[in-house]
Order: sequence, then C-alpha cells, then structure tokens
Amino acid sequence: MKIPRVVLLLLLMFCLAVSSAAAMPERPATDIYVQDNAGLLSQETKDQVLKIGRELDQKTTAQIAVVTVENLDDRPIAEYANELFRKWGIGSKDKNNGVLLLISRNPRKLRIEVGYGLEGALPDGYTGQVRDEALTPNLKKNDYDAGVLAAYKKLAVKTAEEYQQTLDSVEAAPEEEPSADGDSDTVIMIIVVLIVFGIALIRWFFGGGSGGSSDYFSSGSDDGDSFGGGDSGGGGSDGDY
Amino acid sequence: MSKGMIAVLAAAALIAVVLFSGYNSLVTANENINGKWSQVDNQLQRRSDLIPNLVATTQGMAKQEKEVFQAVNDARTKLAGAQGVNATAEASGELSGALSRLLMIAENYPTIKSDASFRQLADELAGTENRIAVARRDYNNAVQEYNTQIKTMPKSLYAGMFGFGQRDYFKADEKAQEVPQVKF
Repeated sequence: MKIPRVVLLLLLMFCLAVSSAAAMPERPATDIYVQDNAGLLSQETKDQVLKIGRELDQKTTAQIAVVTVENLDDRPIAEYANELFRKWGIGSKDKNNGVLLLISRNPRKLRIEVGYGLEGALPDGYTGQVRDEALTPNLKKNDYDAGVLAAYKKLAVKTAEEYQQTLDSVEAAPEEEPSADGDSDTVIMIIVVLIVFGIALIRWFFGGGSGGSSDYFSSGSDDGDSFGGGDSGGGGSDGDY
Repeated sequence: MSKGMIAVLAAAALIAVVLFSGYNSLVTANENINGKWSQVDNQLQRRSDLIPNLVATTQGMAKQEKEVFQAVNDARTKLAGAQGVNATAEASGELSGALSRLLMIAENYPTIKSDASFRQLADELAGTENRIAVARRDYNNAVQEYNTQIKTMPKSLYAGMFGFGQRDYFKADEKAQEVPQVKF
C-alpha cells in the first residue's frame, strides 16, 4: 500500500509543530553556567558568569546556572523552573548543591530555584532579598546584564562561604575597571592590565584548542563542564519584573 | 520423575519467580510513597513553624484584625491534629486560605509591608508553600505509580492478598492551591 505523499508531508509538519511547541531547553553540554536562550545578555556578562560559575564548581562542586527563556509555555514559573532544574540535574548528585536563576522575557518573570543541599546557605529570605535588591530593579529597566551579574555574584559568594571558600573571580572583577584619576593610578592600571593580558595570552597559548574569545579567561576546558544530577525541592523565590 | 511432574514443577517455579518480583516491586513502590509522604509532612511542619513568628510580627501592627489571626491559629491547630492523607490535605488547604487572608492584611497596612522581618517571613512562607506543592506532586506521582501497579495484571490478582490496597492522593482544594503572594 503506497502512502500518499500528502499524508507523509502532513505527518512531518505535525512532528515539527509538536517538537517546536515543547520549548523547554535541553540540557547543555558546554557553557553550562549560562544559557541565554532569549538573547538578553551581552557576551561580556556571559564570560564573567562562566568564569565565576566554573571557579565555584571547581572549588565546591556547587553549580549555579543562569537560564533565560523567551516564554514559559504558559506555565507557572515555579513549576517550569523546578522541572528544568530536575531535568538538567543542576548541582552534584550526592550534595544537591545547585541553583537555577531563570529569567523569562515574556511574561516578565524571574525565579531563583535552590537545590535541597543549599537551602541552609540560601534560605528563601535571602533569595527574596537578592531578587529585590539585585534583580527586580535592574530587570525592570531592561538592564539584564547588571541584574544577572549582581545576582550571580551574590549567590556565588554566599554559596562559596558555605564551603568556606572565597572566589578570586568575584574579587578580581572590580580591578578590571579602568580608573581615571591621577598619573600614578594610570601607571598602576597599565601594569595591571599588562599582567592580566600577559596571563591571558599564556593561558591562550597553553589552553584548550576550542578557539573563540571566551577562552581568554576560562580556567579550564569548556568540555569539562557537566551538571552533576542534583535535585531541588522547590526552595527559592520568584517574582515579576 | 515423569515428564508431567517436571512440567508442573517448572510451572510452579516460574509462578514463584513472577510472584516474588511482583511482590518486591509493590513493596518498593509502597515504600516510595511513604518516603514522599514524609517529605510532604516535613514541609507542612516547616510552614506551621513559620506561623507563630508571622503572626507575632503582624499582630502588633494590625491589632483589629483579630478574626484573621484566630483563623490562622485555628487552621494550624486543625492541621496538627489531622490524621491520614485526606484530612491532612483538607486541613492544609484551609491553612493556605487563612494565610492568604493574613498576607492580604499587609496590603492595607503600609507599616507591615515595609517591615523587613515581615518581608523575610513572607518570602519564607512563599518558598515553603512552593516546597509543599513540589512535595505534593512527587507524592501524587508515587501514588499513581503504585495504584497503577496494583490495578493492572498480573499484580491485580494477588496484591489484595498481600495487603496492598489502594492509597489516597493528596487532593487539595482548588481555590486553596493559590500560593499566598504579597506584591511589594
């Protein structure tokens, strides 16, 4: 029995339609700490987040992932975030030390979802504060870069504290801003920039061969990132912006 | 031994194996439900523990709203005394409703809304309500898995014999499922 082409074509269209409707992003294999599906963040922000995220993961096994999405499939953000968190398995399996920062473009909603293992370090009162201070004010103005960076740093530092670690990449960030006052400051600045550039060049020469500008500041190979299979029980805070 | 005997013994062995693994699977599914229930219980307890603080913080600034505070305390007591899934689900729904009304008070009293400890407690409450929702979902999934097993063949033939009865879902009241939210 020959199946008419029209039927096959319709079947194909149906399959495509169904697959595009299920918009929850798949678990990433690289750059796991920031997945900007909605294109809301600058490359600079993403590089910074990757740097901090990697350092935190290496020092503590805790994983903080920023995910932006176009929409929430008409679902409540808490439900969507929990499903995404579990689907990707953020954080290590035995410690459940993952955090998901989810931002949706339309509807304008955000959620910080905290894994079981970090509920002590990042209680709801604290995530609510991060939301109110770092995220909502910036996101309201559509300054996604400032909001995400500020929130990510706060969450990363607080998490690192839980493991009695400090993050060099968070302390180092202010140093890269050029200062504009005084000749001696300028000289110091030039020296610092040269040193940082020199280190970056050396890393670039001896680092992995994946190319791309984000490698300049990466301290490990991109292909080494993967989520550990952690679980979340629904802790955290969300809100509108 | 005659061929007939061997056949019978083989059949009996096969049935035993099927029975064994089926029984074990039911035990596992049942225990899974118990585990998920203790998580629900955990989160319900966590919410109940937040309440005295929440009431104390708001009561001082909204003395006239006695009814609301009474409703919260009554619902909390009822939940503490609830036995079994159905009673607990119902009591939890009532408490959610009472808490919504308490949080709504904040809308009318700016002093409460701007109080830092209130904000923190409101955030903790919202987080806990979400945890309850997640724990409930996990529990209901576990119950569904188990109930499906005991109702399908071949386990439906012997499940009752071993004391594996149907288990209850956590059915919360539809309108009480609203997570209390305060817009700051």
